[in-house]
Amino acid sequence: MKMVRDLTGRFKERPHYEAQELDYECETIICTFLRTLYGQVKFPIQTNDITKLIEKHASDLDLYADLTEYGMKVEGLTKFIPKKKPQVCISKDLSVSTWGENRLRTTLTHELGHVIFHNYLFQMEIEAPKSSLQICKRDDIITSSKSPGRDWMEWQAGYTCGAFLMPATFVNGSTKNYCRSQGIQVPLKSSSSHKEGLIEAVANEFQVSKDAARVRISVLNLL
Amino acid sequence: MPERSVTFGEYIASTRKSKSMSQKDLAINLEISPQYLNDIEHDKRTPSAPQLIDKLASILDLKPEYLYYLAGRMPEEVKNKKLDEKSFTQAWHAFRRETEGKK
Repeated sequence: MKMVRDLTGRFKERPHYEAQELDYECETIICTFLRTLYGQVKFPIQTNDITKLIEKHASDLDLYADLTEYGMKVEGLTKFIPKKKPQVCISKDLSVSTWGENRLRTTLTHELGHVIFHNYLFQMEIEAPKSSLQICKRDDIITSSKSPGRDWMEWQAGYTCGAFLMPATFVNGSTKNYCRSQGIQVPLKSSSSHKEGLIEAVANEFQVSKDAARVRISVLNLL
Repeated sequence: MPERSVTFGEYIASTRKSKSMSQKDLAINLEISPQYLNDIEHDKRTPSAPQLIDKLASILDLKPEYLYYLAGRMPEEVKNKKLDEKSFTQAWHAFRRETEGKK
């Protein structure tokens, strides 16, 4: 990680992480946490355990928040508060939905990324930052991990979301196992007829949507 | 007058977290929905039944009388004193000694 000038004007300087650095950090955090809970590392991580990990690093997690005042597509937000741990709010509509378990998991880990990687920046600010709310819209949560040119905070949180749910070492292992079972080579060609099979295998193993699995496999250059 | 250090919801949430329980785990033990427990922990609702307070005290190993106090289920003159747990416990024991002495 190195500090670079923050062109968004949010801070004077901001952290720049290489993708591999975020992969390493997230994998260490998630594996250490799972070992503490169970003495072993097993995926998929349970949604319940993601909430425990957030509560370890945040002062509050409101899983049934009314976020409509921030816009209809807002499903999660992190409030950074001077001299306190951040607060995380998840939309009630998402938490109570019967269809949204995968979305809930990606939203939770996206906010976890903000909590772990961005809170210290707000704590270091001498003057109160202009905005202490990081509002995350549904459309940005998965796609933001693909394009580092956008808001760096959203890109980092988007990338860590995938890295928490699907740590690199484990996705690499799953991909190798899948390819071995199919008698094919890694990385797969994007035109490969096995592409969808691999995406489905990763989505099932890590309990994520196919979209999230596709993005993760792609950013890890396995496709 | 001392400021009350915590609300009912904050006290439940912090005790639950100190025992490494998730909201869902505790809600299952209490036989209530996680959403209802979330509302209680964020002071959006207070427990509707005394049985629920007793259950919370039992599962989280807390003093039920202090939970009743935080939930506002005490006489007015006690309810508004904004006592922390230690001060409340002292006052409670003094009250018990007094009432038992009168018997």
